[in-house]
Amino acid sequence: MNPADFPVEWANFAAIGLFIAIGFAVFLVPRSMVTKDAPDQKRWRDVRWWAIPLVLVQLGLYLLFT
Amino acid sequence: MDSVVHPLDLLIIMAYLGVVTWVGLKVSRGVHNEKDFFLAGRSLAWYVIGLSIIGTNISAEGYVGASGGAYKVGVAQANFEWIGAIPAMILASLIFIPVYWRAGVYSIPEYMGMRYNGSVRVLLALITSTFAVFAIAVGLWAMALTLQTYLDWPIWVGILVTGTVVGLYSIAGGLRAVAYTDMMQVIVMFAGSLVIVALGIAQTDGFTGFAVKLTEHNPDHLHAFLPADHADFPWPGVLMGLAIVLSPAYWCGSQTILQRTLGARTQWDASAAMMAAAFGKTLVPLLIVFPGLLALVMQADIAYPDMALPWVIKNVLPPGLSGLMFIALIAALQSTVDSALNSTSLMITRDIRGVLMKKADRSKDLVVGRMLTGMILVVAMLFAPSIGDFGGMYVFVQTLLSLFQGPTLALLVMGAFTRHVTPVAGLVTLVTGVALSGVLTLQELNMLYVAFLSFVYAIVCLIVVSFFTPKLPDDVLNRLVWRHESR
Repeated sequence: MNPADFPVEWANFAAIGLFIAIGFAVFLVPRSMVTKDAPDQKRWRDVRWWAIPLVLVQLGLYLLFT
Repeated sequence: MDSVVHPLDLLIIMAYLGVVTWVGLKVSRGVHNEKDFFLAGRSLAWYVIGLSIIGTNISAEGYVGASGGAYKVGVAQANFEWIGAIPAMILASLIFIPVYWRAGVYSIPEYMGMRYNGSVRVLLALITSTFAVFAIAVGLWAMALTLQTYLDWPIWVGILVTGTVVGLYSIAGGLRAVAYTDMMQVIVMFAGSLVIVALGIAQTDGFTGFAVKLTEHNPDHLHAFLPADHADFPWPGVLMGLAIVLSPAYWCGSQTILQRTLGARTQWDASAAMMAAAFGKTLVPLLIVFPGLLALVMQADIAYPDMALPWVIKNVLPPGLSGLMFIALIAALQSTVDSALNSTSLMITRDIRGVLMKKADRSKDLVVGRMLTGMILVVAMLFAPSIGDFGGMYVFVQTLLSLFQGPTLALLVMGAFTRHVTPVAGLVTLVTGVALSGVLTLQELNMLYVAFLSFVYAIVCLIVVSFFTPKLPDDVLNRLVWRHESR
């Protein structure tokens, strides 16, 4: 199969797969690392969780513009 | 199109310029040394940096060029803001920013110099500075193009006037002024662009009417990805070249972007700023892609795609609001050119002059930095009128980037994640990798594939050469390589 003939849908699948993987991968980074020298240790300071809504929005966009 | 500007628009433009100039000058009074000038005295809060990152990233060519790109290819242009940004920004926030902070550097070339050697530092600073001069020239050209459309000014007058205004402001203010004025500018940009979206949708019978009219003659314009044989944005190239190489190289290695995170008051502020900026980045296509689509739907009478946004400002917005949108464009130019000028003068002052002239008086860094800022701007202004000969601006800038982004990202990733790679391997890889990129580009290979292939080559070259050359001592590597357990 010629690479030029690869269906466009594969791109959307790849993008969605990538964002799902990122959603899980951020938690491989230790919490202590992301809250280092933060003014306090409140839960919202954990920027790993900030990535989750970002990933969800991206999933929505790539599903919408398939 | 007539060139008469409504008095209300002129009033808004003048008021905006006055406020920004006042803020810039007020903040510049706090600049006493090179740390204040280049890193804002390491005092910036996460929300200031986050907005400043967005302001720096949304350049005038981003505004004008991306709208032109959207006019040509549709929603696929938004990949530069979505898959071509968000994953890399998350990576920068959680991995690279902590690495740079632990190293305690002023710049990314400085980190590369510590991880590899002084030659890599100087070479990278030279390449990056050269690109930055091009980027500043592109920004000035984009602004002049808009001024020509809106006020009927000749291109050279637009370049001269905007370059002079931005230069005075940049030289006085330093990073702190850039960051705080960026914050204002981003708010103006979002406000102006959201008005365009609202009025545009209203004039085209709502979202459904807009989509129907858009896809009537352009069936692919609402698809995020284009066919694999597309000339400009083939989807395999977008995934491999943009998402895997160009975007991480930019978000994790661009001095212009990351300089403000190095000026944060804490490492947490720096990481949080990048993550906050990613939220803003998700919305950016509304600002810069939508106008291009709107021009297409409204059947704009334009000579080439980059005229799409100026046409929309001129023809869609009523008096007063078109002035607001015009200052949003000025804001985009200022925030990008300021940042590029400041980061380039930092790299030349510290990474080139500091390494090559070891006996240079470091107490003069502030004066040298300010002088260099003026010189860089003059060179960019002289080059700017030629940018029009290169076609689509966004593609032009990205083509330049692709020459060295692959090798640079390989050095960053391997340097930050492994202890295996050596200083000699870094230098050999950087030189041969950029040369390979040049050769591939001359073969007229799509820039996205050039970036990916040069990245793969650079990874292999780094690994192989490192087997035969000496490593850095372990105590040095401990400070420069990311370690999972070290926090």
